[in-house]
Amino acid sequence: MPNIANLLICLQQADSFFPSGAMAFSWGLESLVKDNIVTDIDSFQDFLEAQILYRWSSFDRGIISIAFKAGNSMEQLASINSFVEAMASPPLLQEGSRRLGRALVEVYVKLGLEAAKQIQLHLARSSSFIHLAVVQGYLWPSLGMDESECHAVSAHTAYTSIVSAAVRLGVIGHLDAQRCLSRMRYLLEKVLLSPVPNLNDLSCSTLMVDIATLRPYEQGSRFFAN
Amino acid sequence: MVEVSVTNHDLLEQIYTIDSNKLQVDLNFERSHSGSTFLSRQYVSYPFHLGRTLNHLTPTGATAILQSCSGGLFEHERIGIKIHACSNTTAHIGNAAATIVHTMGNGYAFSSAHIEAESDAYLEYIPNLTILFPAARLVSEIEVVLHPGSIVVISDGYLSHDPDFSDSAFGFLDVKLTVYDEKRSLLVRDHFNIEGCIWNRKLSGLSGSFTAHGNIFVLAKDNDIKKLKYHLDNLITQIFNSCLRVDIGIGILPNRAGIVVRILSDGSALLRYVLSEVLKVLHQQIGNQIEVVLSS
Repeated sequence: MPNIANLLICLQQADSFFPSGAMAFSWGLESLVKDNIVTDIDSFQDFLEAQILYRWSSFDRGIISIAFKAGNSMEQLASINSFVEAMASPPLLQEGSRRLGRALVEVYVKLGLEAAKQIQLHLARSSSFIHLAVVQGYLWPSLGMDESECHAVSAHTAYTSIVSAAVRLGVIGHLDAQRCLSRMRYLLEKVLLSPVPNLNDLSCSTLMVDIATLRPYEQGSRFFAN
Repeated sequence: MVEVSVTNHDLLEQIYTIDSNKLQVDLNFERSHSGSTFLSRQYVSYPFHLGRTLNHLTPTGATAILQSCSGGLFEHERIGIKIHACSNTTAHIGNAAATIVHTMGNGYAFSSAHIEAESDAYLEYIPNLTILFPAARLVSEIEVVLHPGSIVVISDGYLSHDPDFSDSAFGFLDVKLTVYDEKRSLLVRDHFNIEGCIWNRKLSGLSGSFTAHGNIFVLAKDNDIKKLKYHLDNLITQIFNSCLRVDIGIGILPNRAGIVVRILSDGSALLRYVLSEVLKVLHQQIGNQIEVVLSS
């Protein structure tokens, strides 16, 4: 019998209606659409799979688990965050992660979550910032979510925001979006049942996305923040 | 509460647990009284051979070419390299040819390099490309310690090679770079890994239809890299506009620890070309800086 209370908590955090700010980011999709690399549902499905397996699963998921186990220690939280900050991801993607981390903290502060207030105080004192996966792993347990629920909600919010970006960029339609989400669910189930990578194994291998967001010659205006 | 102290110590343990008895190469560069760089210590064992030191970057810099007589990397092989550059030295370490990683059973080949540049040293570690044969499995780690004012340039390049055109892929590639400052604080971490079967799927967002990829890292804590970035931006834009079979980007590294240039290309020749063009600009732009180092 599933824990209905927890299920409802997870659904609330994972809902695109939740004001996390994630919808402002395409995670490199916009650049690949401009390049005519992602043009239809098949190439988009490849992109989505690459993002989930070689960025979210191989990196964010591990960070969530480490933050989840940090307890109430701000010192450890800062340590985890500095590790994320040191990853040689493209600045646009790093900035996206920081902005979403800060936005999530601010929303939970407004919702009255004590742990979020602690983070906000810490950030104000240290003049620093915090990454999205760190916030998710640190704050969601205080809502009662367990580690696997944190992973599932994080993955869901990551891939729904990318699918939403694809719809808004005109790459796929609304029904294709649901087909993508259904296909991803099977892949994601396997990922979520596999062992969580440890710190030394955390990696990001989305080469083409990284390069697309590292171009000095990016042309035209952008719809998304990254 | 579970211990999750991650800043540096977990990672550092890996650096300093590299068993010095298992190193195949251990080099130390020092500055002579005349201002030139010389190799003050060299330990080189199978499969490597080190030729005499040459002048490549500047008349007073030292160039060391590592040659391998084993024909590449084989299953279960472990290669350990340690390079140390003392203050105010200028050195370049390269190798004579591409490294083939041969077809393997279930095992891996491991390569590790530990590089330390003391204050105001300039050190290049620019090996040739690594060619991954079908079912080759390689784990490569490079760890760098940067002291104030030092510059370390590292390049890598990997080609997926299928000599029989049988749609075979390499087995696994895991490439890690970790950079610390002189206090052993973590500055940069880059970790890429992929299975060959995934690479061969040509996924949008990962490798696409490209067969080779590489990076140049210009690691330069406390150095002004804006001018260098400006010139590299121009070069990269030119290359991208003139060649459809290359994708290339450039970015500032975390903690303002330098620049990375990332390249995807169709074949090794293009990758080599782009790497060499980037190095040319680098040498033009930091040439003055090298002279400053040597004359200080």
